[in-house]
Amino acid sequence: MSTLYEDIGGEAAVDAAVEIFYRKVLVDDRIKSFFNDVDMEKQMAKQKSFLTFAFGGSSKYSGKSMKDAHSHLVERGLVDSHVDAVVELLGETLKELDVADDKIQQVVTIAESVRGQVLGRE
Amino acid sequence: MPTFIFKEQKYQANENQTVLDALINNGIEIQNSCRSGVCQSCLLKTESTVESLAQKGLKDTQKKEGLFFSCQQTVVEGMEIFECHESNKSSVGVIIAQEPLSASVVLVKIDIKDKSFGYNAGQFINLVRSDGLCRPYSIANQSGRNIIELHVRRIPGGVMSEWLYGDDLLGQEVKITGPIGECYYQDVYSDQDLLLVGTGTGLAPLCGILLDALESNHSKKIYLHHGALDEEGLYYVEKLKSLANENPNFEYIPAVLKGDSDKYNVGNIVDIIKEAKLNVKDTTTFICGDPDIVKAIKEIVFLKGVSSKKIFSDPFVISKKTCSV
Ligand SMILES: Cc1cc2nc3c(=O)[nH]c(=O)nc-3n(C[C@H](O)[C@H](O)[C@H](O)COP(=O)(O)OP(=O)(O)OC[C@H]3O[C@@H](n4cnc5c(N)ncnc54)[C@H](O)[C@@H]3O)c2cc1C
Ligand code: HEM
Repeated sequence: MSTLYEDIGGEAAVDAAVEIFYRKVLVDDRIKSFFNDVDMEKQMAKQKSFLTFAFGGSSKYSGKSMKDAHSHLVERGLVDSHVDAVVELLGETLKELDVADDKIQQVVTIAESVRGQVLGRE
Repeated sequence: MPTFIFKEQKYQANENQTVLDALINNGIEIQNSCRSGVCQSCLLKTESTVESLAQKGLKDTQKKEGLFFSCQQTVVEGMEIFECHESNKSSVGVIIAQEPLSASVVLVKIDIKDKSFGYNAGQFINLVRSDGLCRPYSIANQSGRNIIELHVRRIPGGVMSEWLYGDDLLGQEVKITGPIGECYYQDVYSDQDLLLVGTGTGLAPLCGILLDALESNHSKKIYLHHGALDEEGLYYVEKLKSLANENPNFEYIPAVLKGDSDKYNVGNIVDIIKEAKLNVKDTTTFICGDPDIVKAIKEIVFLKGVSSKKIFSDPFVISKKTCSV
């Protein structure tokens, strides 16, 4: 059986998605300030980690925990509404890439599964 | 156990250890994060052959330069590893000319003694003075010459730039290391419009790219935007205007923040790029100079729809380095 990651289109899909997603992030007044202080290439590489994870493609993601990766953002005021915004932009991105609704739902579920960790509650 | 070299020092690794783990094991701090070859924070450089997985997703220019993800590469016996902005190639150079280009910019010509020191115009070199003072400068003349040209802006109180601008240095020996960076012209861009944007001596690498593109008979559009605070900050105006006259596909657009609007575009270069019409699907962009302006323009060009893979930049960040002589 093919995985969700393969179904969406694997690495090529991540590459396409990261450009669309990051364009949305940069102009979204709710969250853009969290992404502003770093250089663009580095930031996009991090967002690629995010998308690879959400697409179910990083079973071997062995980096920092989600909690550690976002703890400095929680200090700067990261709360649930910001996660809502990120999840919304993620969904819009996949729609633009013509990903089927049920697949989008699966991606959103994966992203939602780490909400507590991202916000430092778990 | 395999050995490897990092910053000119020899270290040992365990069998099948990744470069990242081996460095950390040896007490060297290397940025890292995802450890799965995605986040790019552990990027290093080598001239040894690396596994394809260790370069997956990198731009072609980065692969050519030998950049690789240290978390995805096992240590190969004898491999020499560098930080991204370092290089093992070096040559003695002799300063053979210092010509003022404006009240604040001097053209420095350096005769490269090692004739095998190849470079691409637009890349930068580290210029090392005999006391070890070391600063990066961009190569402003065409590729494939034995003499490189630098445009150095005098920064009041700046150690290296005051020296290059003010002292009589003809015949002076310096060390050159490099070349480094991905701001240069390649034939694969021949079907692309080129958007070149720079402030101050950010014009230097763009001149190199422009001259190489023209020499390669680049037939698509080339737009060169040069921004400065005022008229004083512009240089090479006549030279670039005449190149634009000779090459109908090349457009030179100087802009000043304050000044005579009959002669120049007046306004912030960031806004000027915001308004510029671009063929976003087929434009390759090079942005150089002041770091804040480079960052802002990169974002604008990206938001207009140019793929990040086609945006190259050299922010002239201030470094206070000394190097081995
Ligand atoms: C990739 C790269 C390429 C570069 N290419 C060029 C080039 O082609 N031409 C060129 O002229 N420079 C270039 N630079 C900048 C150059 O390397 C030096 O930073 C610059 O010449 C100042 O060095 P200095 O020793 O004279 O000043 P320093 O002694 O290092 O600095 C003296 C003081 O001036 C301030 N200062 C330093 N730089 C600036 C600045 N740009 N604007 C305002 N204040 C400053 C510092 O904060 C410090 O207080 C490049 C930098 C990078 C990273
Ligand atoms: C919804 C679930 C989320 C997931 C699965 C997720 C995942 C990730 C991952 C894997 C990284 C890379 C970490 C690293 O390797 O360093 C990352 C970094 C980052 N994330 Fe998230 N993220 C989520 C939500 C958010 C939200 C809501 C924001 C802000 C609005 C955010 C902002 C960032 C920023 C700014 C970085 C880069 C941090 C840095 O540069 O150090 N993330 N995220």
